[in-house]
Amino acid sequence: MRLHLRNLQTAALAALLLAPPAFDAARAEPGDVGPNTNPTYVKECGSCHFPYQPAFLPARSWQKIMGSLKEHFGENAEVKLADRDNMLAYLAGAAADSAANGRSRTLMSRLPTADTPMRVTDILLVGGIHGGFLDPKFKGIPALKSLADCAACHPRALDGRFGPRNYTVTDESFRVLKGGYGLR
Amino acid sequence: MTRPLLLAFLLCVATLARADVVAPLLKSYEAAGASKFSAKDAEAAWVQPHLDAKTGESRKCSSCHTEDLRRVGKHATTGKAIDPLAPSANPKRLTDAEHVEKWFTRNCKWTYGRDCSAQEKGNFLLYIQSK
Repeated sequence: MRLHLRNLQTAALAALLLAPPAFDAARAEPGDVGPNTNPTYVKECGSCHFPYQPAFLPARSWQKIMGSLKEHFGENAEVKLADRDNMLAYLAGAAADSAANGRSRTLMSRLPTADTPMRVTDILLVGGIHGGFLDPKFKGIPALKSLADCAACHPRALDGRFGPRNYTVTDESFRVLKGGYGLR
Repeated sequence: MTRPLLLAFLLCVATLARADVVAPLLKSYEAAGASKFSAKDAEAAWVQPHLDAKTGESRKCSSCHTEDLRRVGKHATTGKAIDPLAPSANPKRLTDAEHVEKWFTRNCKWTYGRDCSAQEKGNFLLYIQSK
């Protein structure tokens, strides 16, 4: 069968019209971690820090974190047992090792199986991309002292969108160096 | 005619409902031996520094909540914004007893390395309620 341009155009148009909306603000990019879907997790854990999406860490990391809430990075973060079980089921169930999005797959592909990172920023890939940004030897010291607050630079962090067009930085030096680093 | 009356009634209930969270909490503290709660004592305690045994850092309530309860606070470690404690700036405050007790437990342990006494909690409640 000969492929006519008109047929292709019709097919493309049909695909566009029939396809689900591509720019739904709340829906995750197919390649990214997406928004949180457990309100208890967002309320309890998001009260002190950014509620890191489960797709950022493997299930074994979430098990370790939720099993040591009494000593959570120097603070007591204990919650009711029922809430803890509920949140752990959510986190482990949607963790990076079982997530289907591109971001999780990339993170997991670079994570040694012996590693159980306790922080999203401990993941080599994440820390590596941002590492220079916190290096005091850079021209201009960044205002942030840690990478913990994703939403400080990623305006769509809660939507789970961390891609190249979804960050903004107020640090002059980073803006100047961005081109040189080839970071899109 | 009945609509404004109904509205007025509901408003009264709403205000009473908020007071009802603090009142039974104070009662439970009194049952534990506390008495004559003082917002003034709490105000002084708010900015009293305590040395954390493990890290050696100086901690106080105002480290996260600032000295002005109407202002937005900031988590001392993560930098995350904390909504104002003053009910005048944040009407959700002091409306959930479980929430109050949970954060007393966590924050007293962080600041003092121990639970707050019933007296201390009662003082803090009066102080926050007055802002």
